[in-house]
Amino acid sequence: MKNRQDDDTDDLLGSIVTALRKNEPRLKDSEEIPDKVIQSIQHMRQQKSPDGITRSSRIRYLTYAQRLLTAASVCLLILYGAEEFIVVKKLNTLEQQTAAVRIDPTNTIFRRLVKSGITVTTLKQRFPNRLKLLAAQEHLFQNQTVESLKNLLP
Amino acid sequence: MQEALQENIRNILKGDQEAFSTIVKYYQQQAFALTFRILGDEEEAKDAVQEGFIKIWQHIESYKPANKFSSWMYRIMANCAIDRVRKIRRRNEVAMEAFSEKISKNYLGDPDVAMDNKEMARIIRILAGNLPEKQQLVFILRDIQCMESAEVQVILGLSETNVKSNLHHARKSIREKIDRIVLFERSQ
Repeated sequence: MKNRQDDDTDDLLGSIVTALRKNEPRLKDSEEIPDKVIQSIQHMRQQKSPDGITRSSRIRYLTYAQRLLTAASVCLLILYGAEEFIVVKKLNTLEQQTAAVRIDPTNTIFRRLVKSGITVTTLKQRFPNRLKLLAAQEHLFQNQTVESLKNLLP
Repeated sequence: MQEALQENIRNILKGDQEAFSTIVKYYQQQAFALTFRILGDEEEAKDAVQEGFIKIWQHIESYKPANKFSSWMYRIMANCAIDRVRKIRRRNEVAMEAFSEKISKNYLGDPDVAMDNKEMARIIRILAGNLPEKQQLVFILRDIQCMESAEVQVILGLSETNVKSNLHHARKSIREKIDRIVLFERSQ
């Protein structure tokens, strides 16, 4: 049930809302806003004038240059990373291979061959026969020098 | 009028400032009434209107002639006013005691009372100043600007349910505020 308080509240609210509807806010100077708006538009247009365009295009070129340099830096970093990865991988492989080499007379021969610059491939090409290859190795082992083996090569 | 408006818009698209000035002159009062009622401050409202019309000039090509120009304009103006409300955020609770007596004395039983901009701003701030943003806007557009629900939906980008719900909560909060004023007056 509504009491007097509710009635007064409804009356006051209704009166205020009605008064606000009836009294529309009025602009005191009807020329002020159009003038300011047109001035702002003209100002914006002036900024887009040839001089403005030159200035803004210069800024645009600088931005492009900046972006290009950033992209180049990123590319160089990626390249550096990739190279590092490849080198480290190769070193690891080499280390593994070196560690796998047994220390015995045969491998001493192999080391000598490496030091002398004769590759295993060359040796195999020159001594395709396995027996001849073994003989060459034996020769090398006995003479303790690669110079004599070099003489055997054509 | 619609034909003249479309003609003006075509000219504005060609860069005709005079045509735009005509539109500003024609719609500025409606735009000001809306921004004033949202902001409750004459100067801020004028700045919002100015900013809104500049945005209209900049984005006139995005206006679709199939839609009402006034709705599109109201939407832009409302957004400019909302941005300002967020920036200034000076809508602190106004002490009821400072206004209650005058409100009751002036308005109770007399809806025809004349109000100047300053008085209107004070009343708007008391009534809607502390409401959440959406409730404030829906209340102003529906109850003060007397817009149709469909138009409010377009302007605020809200669903019908959202408009109804926000309006319900806004009215409830405002009624509670008025209730406190009446109670305070009685205690005097």
